[in-house]
Amino acid sequence: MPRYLCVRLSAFPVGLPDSAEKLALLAEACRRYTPLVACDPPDGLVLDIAGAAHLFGGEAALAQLIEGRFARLGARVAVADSPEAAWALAHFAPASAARNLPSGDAKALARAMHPLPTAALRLSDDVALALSQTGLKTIGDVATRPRAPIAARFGAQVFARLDAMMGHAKSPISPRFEAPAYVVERRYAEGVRARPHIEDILLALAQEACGLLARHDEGARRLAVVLFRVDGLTRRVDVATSRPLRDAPSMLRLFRGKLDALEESAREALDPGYGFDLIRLAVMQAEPLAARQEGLRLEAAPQAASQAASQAAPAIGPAGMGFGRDGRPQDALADFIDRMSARFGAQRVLRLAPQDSHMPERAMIAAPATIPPERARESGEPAPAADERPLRLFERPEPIDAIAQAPDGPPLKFRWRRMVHDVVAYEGPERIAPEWWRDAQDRLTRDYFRVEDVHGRRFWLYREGLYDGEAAQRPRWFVQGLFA
Amino acid sequence: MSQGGGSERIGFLRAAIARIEAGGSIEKRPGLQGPGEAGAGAFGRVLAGGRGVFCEVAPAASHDRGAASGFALALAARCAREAGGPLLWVAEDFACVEWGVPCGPGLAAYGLAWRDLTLMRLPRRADVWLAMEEAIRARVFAAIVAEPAGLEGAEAPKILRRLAMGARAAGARMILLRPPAGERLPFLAPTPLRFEVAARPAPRPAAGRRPLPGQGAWRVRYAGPGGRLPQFGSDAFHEVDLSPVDLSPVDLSPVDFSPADFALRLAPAPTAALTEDFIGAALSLRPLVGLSGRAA
Repeated sequence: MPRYLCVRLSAFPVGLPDSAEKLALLAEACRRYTPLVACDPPDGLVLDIAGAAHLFGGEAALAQLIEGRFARLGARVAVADSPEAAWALAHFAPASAARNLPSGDAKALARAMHPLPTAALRLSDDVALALSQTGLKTIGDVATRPRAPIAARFGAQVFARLDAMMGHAKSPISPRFEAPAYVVERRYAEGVRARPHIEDILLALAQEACGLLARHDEGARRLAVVLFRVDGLTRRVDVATSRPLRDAPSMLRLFRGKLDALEESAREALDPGYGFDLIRLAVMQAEPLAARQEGLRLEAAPQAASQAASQAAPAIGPAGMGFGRDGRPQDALADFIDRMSARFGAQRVLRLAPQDSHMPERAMIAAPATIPPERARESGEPAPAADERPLRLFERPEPIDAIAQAPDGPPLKFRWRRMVHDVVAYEGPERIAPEWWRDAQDRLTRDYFRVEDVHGRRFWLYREGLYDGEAAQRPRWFVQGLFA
Repeated sequence: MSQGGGSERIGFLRAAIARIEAGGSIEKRPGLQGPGEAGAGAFGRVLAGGRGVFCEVAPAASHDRGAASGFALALAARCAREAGGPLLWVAEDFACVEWGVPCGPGLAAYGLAWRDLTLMRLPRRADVWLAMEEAIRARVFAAIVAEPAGLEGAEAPKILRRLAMGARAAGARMILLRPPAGERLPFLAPTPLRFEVAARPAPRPAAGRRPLPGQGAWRVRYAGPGGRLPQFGSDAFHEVDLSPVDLSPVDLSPVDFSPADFALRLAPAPTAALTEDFIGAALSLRPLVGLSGRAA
């Protein structure tokens, strides 16, 4: 046979994922078959298809489908009653052997496993070598001999693995993805590309999910839409709500905002490619929600679901106040928060929440508004008087140059942002010690002053450090807030 | 017919607004006239919790941002009390970095609880406009305060006009806290209400007593739609001194004292002077509902 040399040809190993990242992509693509997918590094995936195989025509059909889909990667698919048996078949079964074992048939499982080499037990290298040197070359050799001598010589793990393989011991997998509370999905023979079509599908899925939620008197707190592209890539869109939600148009509005944001982002654009052939809506977290009178709303007239979903603004109550989809004003606020959180991210829509700290920058934090207020920790200390704290607080205190009459006295003059302010009135100091149980040891005591300059501008200044040798350096001045 | 110093000041400002509108001392451009009622009428509607008003508040100078923020918040708090409902503060990230975020305990000086405020911090200016538009359409907030880091760009007037018309159509109350107005950055929105706010020094005590920083107080100037503000002091008739108490809608038993000693009475008040309870007990300011007709 002639052989040729092509000098310009570069060879790369193909067929197997060469990194955990690629394996994760494959795992994501396999979520179309079952939500319980676990990575088996370096080159395997384990799918728990119990309860899902019938959706694809049975286990054999599903195995054939997956093998065909990943044929370019040289994937070998095996189906068995335990992950260990499936792994052993996929890696060590000869090409002519059947790799799809019938469910619950222990004899068939034993017949399939016994010819396989002991390496299929996934033992450590030295144990596998020792087994081989003693003539125990196949799993059958091990399984058909007395256990005690083998366990005494090679360790208990040999039979632990064997029992797990044969289904005598439980061997759970660690799914890569959180199992959702409810899942609804739509499959299409051809990919769906158009955004309006996708939104129609999402609305239908949301209505279906709401039906499931209503049956259990629950509402969704976290939702996820996974869009599976024809070519195997997936896009996932997560949204969270500030209260249990069981309203399909509201759910669609949340996803619509998120999809809008994705479309504006060049890096994370929702690229349908040749289309999405599977769209799945999962309720990742559900909470109890009391049953409500559906249809008793304050809208002027009932409208079709799609028309209702397309309405961006909620209905208007008699007094002009906005009402949510369920006709309550507090729902309108929650709707707005959810929509904006989905659009810009939960960290962008905030609500002030007191914290158990006396340091000004920590005493009140801005927490995501989707977190219920009752979860925010109330401070145990009495709140400072209103006029003792500024209207605006700088995230990072800004250093200033200040002149004081006495070293530890109030400022007479200070320069901030290239402007000199002459202090005509002050109040203070209010001494705030660092929180030794939380701060680093080099944090210093602060003396706060409320000052007013000659133009009436009011500032909140502090001097960091005391003149009693608390710090190695001279105390420094900062401005931390502005009064009105 | 004063019911208290606050009413005098508010009435003075309303009269000034009406004079500007009637006298034409400020150049008017009808083409840019904002939608809806303008001037004194609109101001009265803001104070009365009226709907569909777009206010533009600018600090007189960069360092007056604290005073302008306080004035905007006082207007918003007035709306919240009159109309009921939460407040929304939409700020661009850079504005928060530059001028700080609203401080929860400090809000109490305006009778606001921290629970009443929803804060949005957005990375881009376009996001601020989008959030404002969504907030207008939500119709759930008593007032919306927006704080972009700047208003550069040719599209800003169009956006603000759109927002002003949206607020008018949806009946929202919107307050735009903007950078200082200047020759290079004139007032932009075709809004019926524009204020330039400077800090006002607290009244000085008698000799021998140590001066203390005063409560929040502002020197407020008003400009008509499309007009340019004159320099400070050149046209003092539409300039008025206000404090948060002036914008308080409390209406209890009248206390008779003149505007002249109003500040003096306010200054030595206890630390809770500007809280809701103290206002109710010590000061009486009638709601300014209906004043628009009188000023006009």
